[in-house]
Amino acid sequence: MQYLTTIYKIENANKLLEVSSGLIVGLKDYGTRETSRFSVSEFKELSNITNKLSKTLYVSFKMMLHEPKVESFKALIHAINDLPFTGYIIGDIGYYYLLKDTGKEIIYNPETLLTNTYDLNTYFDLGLQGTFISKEVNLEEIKEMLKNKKGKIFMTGHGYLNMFYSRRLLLDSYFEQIGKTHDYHHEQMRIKEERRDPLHPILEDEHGTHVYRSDVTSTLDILNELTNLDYLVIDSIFHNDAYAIEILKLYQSEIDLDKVSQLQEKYNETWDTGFLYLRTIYKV
Amino acid sequence: MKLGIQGSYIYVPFIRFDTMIELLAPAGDLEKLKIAYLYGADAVFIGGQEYSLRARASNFSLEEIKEGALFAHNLGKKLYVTANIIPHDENYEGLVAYLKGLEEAKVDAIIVASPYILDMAKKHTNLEVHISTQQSVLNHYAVQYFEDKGASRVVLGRELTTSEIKEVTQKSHAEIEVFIHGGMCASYSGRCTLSNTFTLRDANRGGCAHSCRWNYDLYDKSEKISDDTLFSMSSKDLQSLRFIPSLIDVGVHSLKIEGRMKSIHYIATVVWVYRMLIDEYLKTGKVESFEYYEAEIAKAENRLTKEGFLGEFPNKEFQLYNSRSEIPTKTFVGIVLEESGQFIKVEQRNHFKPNDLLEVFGPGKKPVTFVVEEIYDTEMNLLDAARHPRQEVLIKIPFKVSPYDLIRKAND
Repeated sequence: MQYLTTIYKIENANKLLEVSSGLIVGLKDYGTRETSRFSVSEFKELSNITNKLSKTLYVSFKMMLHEPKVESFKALIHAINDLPFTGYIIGDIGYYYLLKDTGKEIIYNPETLLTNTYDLNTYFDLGLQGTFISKEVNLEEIKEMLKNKKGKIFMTGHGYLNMFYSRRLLLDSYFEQIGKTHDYHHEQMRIKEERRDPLHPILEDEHGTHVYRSDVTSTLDILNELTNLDYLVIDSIFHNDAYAIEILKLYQSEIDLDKVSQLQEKYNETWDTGFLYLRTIYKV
Repeated sequence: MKLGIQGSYIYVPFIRFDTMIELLAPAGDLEKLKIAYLYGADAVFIGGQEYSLRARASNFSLEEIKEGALFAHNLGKKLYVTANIIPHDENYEGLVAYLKGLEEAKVDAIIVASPYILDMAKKHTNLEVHISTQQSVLNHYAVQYFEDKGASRVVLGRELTTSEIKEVTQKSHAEIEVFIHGGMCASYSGRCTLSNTFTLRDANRGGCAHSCRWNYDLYDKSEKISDDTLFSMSSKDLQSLRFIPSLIDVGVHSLKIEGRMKSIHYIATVVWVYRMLIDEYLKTGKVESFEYYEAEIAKAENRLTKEGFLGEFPNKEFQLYNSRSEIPTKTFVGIVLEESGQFIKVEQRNHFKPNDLLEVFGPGKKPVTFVVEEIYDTEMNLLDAARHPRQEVLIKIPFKVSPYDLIRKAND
C-alpha cells in the first residue's frame, strides 16, 4: 500500500514527498474541496518536482461537470497533458470521455456510489485504471471489495470526509437572507445542527457548497486489514502541510497511541473511524 | 372506492397529439396510480418493495405492480418501477429474481442508479432501463456512458439550467427525462451522506432522513454568526409551469413530477394542471395564462415552490429559512363514485357540511363550484355533515359529473 497526500503549498512538496508516494492536487477553476487550487504554471512546477523524484502526481477534478465548462476544460487538458504526471482523478464519469485518449491514468472518485464490489470494478471494463471505495461503507464491506478487486483501489484514509455537495451557494444565500456582510470564503466556517453538539466544516466556492463530517476519520487502527489496498489518501483539508507530514509519519510508524493523543490535542480535533464499524440502515 | 379496469367505464379524457412528450407522474399506491393515469399522466413511476428509494412511500408488491401495469396498458400508457438504490454487496441476493418478477409483471421500464442493477437487468431480462437522477447525470458524456451500457433513457440531475438541458438533450441519443415538479435534493442527488452521518439511515438505500432540511447554527471559528434566522440547506420545491414550453421545444422526452408519498388530491391536481398546460401548448403553440395554471396548482400544493435551476441561479428566494414550508391548500372532501338516482354518490375524504361552497374538477374538466345542500347516507338518513372518512354519502350536484371527479372546498 502506498500513501498519497494533498498539498497546500508548493514549497512543501519535497517534504511531503519524503513521507509519501505522491500528491493529489486541484487546479484553478476546476478544483473544488481542494487544499489548494494551483495555476497551470504552478502545476508545471509540481510535476517537475514529482517527476524528478519519480513520484506519483494526480490532478483531481471533483467538480461536477456541467456543459458550459466542457470547452474550457478541453483547453486546460491541452495545456497540462504533456507535463510529466500520473493521471486524473475524476468525480463525474463524464470527464472520462474527455480524458480517455490522453494516455494518462484515469481514476474514478465520486466519493459516494461505489459501495459494492461490482460497481467498484465495472469501471475497469470501461478502461479506467482505478476507483475509490466510497466513504459510507464499513470495514467488512471494504475487505470484501478489496478481496475481489480488478484494478487499483484507492481510499481516503485520513481527514475530514465530505458529506454534502450542492451546486447552490448556500452561505451566499444565507448572508443575503440575514442582510449581513461577512467574509465566509475560508476554511473556518462551521455549522451545528440545533439539537446536536458537533461542529461541521462548511465550505463555499464558485462550484457550490460543501459540508463535512465533524470529526476526522482515521483508518490507523485497521491498516493491517487493508493489505489489498493500492493507495491510502491523506486529505489534509482544514489543516496544513505540516499536519499531513505528521500524519504520514504516524501511519508509517509503529502504532504510538501517545502520539495519536498528542496530535488530536495539538490540532484540537477528535479522530473517529467514520463508517468502518457502523452498519447503515437499508430500509426504515 | 374500487377504481379498476373491471369497472363500468374507462375515461380517456384528452385528445392525443402527435408528440413525443411524456408526462410522468408518481404514485404511492394503486389508487394514486389510477388517479394519475386518469388525470392525464402518460406514464407513472412507482417503487417496488425491494431496491427502491423512498422506503416509506408505501411501495408496491409484485401483484400490485402487475395490476398497475395491466391498468396502464389498457389505457395505452406506461408503468415504470424504481430500483434505484446504490446497493452494498449484501443487497445482491435476490436481485435477479426480483428483476424477472418485474419483467413478468410487464412493467415498461425500470429506473436504476447502480451499474450493477443495470447490467443484471440487461443480462437476465429484456427490461428497458432508465437511469435515475441519483446518478446526477449533468452532461452528455455521462449520458453516453449509460447509453453505451444499454440504458434507453437518462433522468438528468435537478441542477441543470434550461440551456444546459437543451445542450445535453440535443447531444444525446438516449431519451432525456427532467423533473418539473416536486421536492428537490439540496445536494447533487446520490452525492449526499448527511442522513448516513446523522442518523445511520442510508440516503442511497431508501432511508434519507432529509437532514438538509434541518436548522443549523452557523459559526465562524468559535463565533456564532446566525441569530434568529438559522442556517439551512433546505430549498423550496420545484414548480416549472412557465418553463414547460421551453422544455418541450428543446426536445426533452419526459417531464417528471416527483412525490410518491403525496395524496391523491395533490397528484390529481398537479397532473391535471401540467396535462392541461402541455396540451394547450401543443395545440396552440402558446400558453394563454400561466397565472391560471399557477392558481390551480396552488389549490393542492402545500409547499413553497420556485423554479429550481431552470431560470435564474438560485438565491435566498429559493431557500427555506426557519420555517416549515407548509402552506394552506384547498381541503379535498371527496371523490365522485357514481350517479344514484337524482343523487351523486361520493366517498368522503374530509369533513364537509351543508351550505359549504365546493368545487368539482375532473380529468380534462375545469373546476366548477356549487353549494352543497342536503347530505344523506346510503340509507337515505339526513346527515348534519359528512364527517366519517371513506363514508359513502349522497349529495346533489347541479351539473354533470363523472366517476373519479374530485371535490374540494372552494372557500378555504
